[in-house]
Amino acid sequence: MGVFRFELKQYKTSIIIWALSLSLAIIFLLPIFSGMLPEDKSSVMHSLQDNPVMEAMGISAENFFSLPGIYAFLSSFLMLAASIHAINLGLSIITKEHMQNTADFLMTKPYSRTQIFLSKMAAALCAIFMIAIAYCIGGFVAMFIVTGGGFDNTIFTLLSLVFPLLQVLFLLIGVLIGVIISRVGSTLPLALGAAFGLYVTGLFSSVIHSDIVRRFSPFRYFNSDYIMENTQYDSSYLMLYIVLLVISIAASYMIYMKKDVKMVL
Amino acid sequence: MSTNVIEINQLSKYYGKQRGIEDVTFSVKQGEIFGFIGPNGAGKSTTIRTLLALIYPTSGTATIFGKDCIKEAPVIAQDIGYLPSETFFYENMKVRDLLKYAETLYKKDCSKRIDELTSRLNLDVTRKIRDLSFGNKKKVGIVAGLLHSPKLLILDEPTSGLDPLMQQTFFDILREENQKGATILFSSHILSEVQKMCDRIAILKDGKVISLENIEVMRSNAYKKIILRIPETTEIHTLDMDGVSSFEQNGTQASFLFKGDVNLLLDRLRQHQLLDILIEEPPLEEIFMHYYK
Repeated sequence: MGVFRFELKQYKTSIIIWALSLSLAIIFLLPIFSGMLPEDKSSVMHSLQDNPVMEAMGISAENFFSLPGIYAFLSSFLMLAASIHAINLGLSIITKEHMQNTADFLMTKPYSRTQIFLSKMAAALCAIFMIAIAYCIGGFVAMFIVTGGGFDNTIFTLLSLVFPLLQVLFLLIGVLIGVIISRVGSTLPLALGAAFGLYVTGLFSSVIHSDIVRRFSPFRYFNSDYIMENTQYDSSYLMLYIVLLVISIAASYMIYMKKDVKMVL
Repeated sequence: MSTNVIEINQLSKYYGKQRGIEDVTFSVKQGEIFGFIGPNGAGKSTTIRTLLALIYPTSGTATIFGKDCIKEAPVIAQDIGYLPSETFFYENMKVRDLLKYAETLYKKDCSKRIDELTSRLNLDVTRKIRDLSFGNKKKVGIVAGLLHSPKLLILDEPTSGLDPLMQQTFFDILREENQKGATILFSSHILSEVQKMCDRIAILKDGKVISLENIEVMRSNAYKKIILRIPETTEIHTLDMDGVSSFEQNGTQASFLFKGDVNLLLDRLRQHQLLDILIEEPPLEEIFMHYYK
């Protein structure tokens, strides 16, 4: 309990700032974008048919000009920011002990490595969920402002859940990188690089219509078109997501348990 | 018969191909102050960090309180106080909060002990860690290592950064802990420090224990380094007596190592005209070179 509470306390300010900024962003952006929805969609939709930018974004023109479509579109951008945060959090919660040389302090206390690892994971997940909950509430408020309540709850829930699902995966990717290279000078550039890399891979996969490339970008695992059309997640990608989740947490745990704590120099 | 608190059996650690320690074997008895001495890079910290399960041994075993120090590390840790050679803490925390955190990690109420130690060491608990000097950080380390009244203290070059007055206070605290029954493992590269404190010592060189000594034996074997300044005309040569080694004369300066009765040496030196004399403890490296020829 000690480590869990301590870690959460350390990230308190960052959690509040991220939760507030992401939820406020969706509350303000959704009404603005939905206000720009054209009265007559067909002409605009026609001109946007086969538009390469829409293609790269992985959303069809038809879905783009609907409220859930705009919500999904805005979420995908805010998700990029949230993914940077999640990777950075995963990286820093593991590597900071090595960078501040506090590993000696923490790991010589009557806590097993398993306990420390799990406490840190729990704290990070808790942080992630608090931000996700704030975002989903923000999304709900925004949808409510625009429609006054008349929107498809199931689709909204499915689209909103993509946010925490991806955050968790990115967090674990960060943790995995963190346990492999435990001495990262500065975590943010690495997190930025990883997040943008995966994001661009996603854009690229849509442009070349490659399902193989798509598997390398978690951003594209939960396609909003598919969700809006089928009211469910694409099961093959959901499986892939779960497999990746399990692999990264298991690998991180095993490496963390075995790794020597390097001498302070 | 006293029992062994620490038992190290043929412990080896390699960092890849690089040697850390090789076949280190020794034991520390209950209630003793055990010195652990060697030049930099000899493997003192490697041994200590293996005992604390911070690093894993390549081969061999070590037990503390009869428990395997890797498998049962968390259980053992409850009764160990560890002071690393360089202390690092969460920079943006206040000293008091850090000590509170350490206290919760031990799941024990140590507030009285914290107050006592901080006031004895003159440590201001309201300051942030990042604003502390090296010596003050060391003091935080001492309090953090002692606050839960451990049965075994593991100290890795503990005096670096402390001024002589604080060193004295620190040694007093250690002696008190020892009298209360704590066993102490103390690593250092300063021989005099170890001689002052310890009952027995292990000497480490190039990753191996080259000698286990009783401090009394060690003291009788102690070398002194003697440097003489002499008038130009004088030739001292080898002084021609037992116990003198590495004699070197360079113009007006002569130096040698001496082991034996200092009275005899002084009698012998009196026969010469000297400008100045300096008697000092030779650096550890020099002892190693001559001690075990």
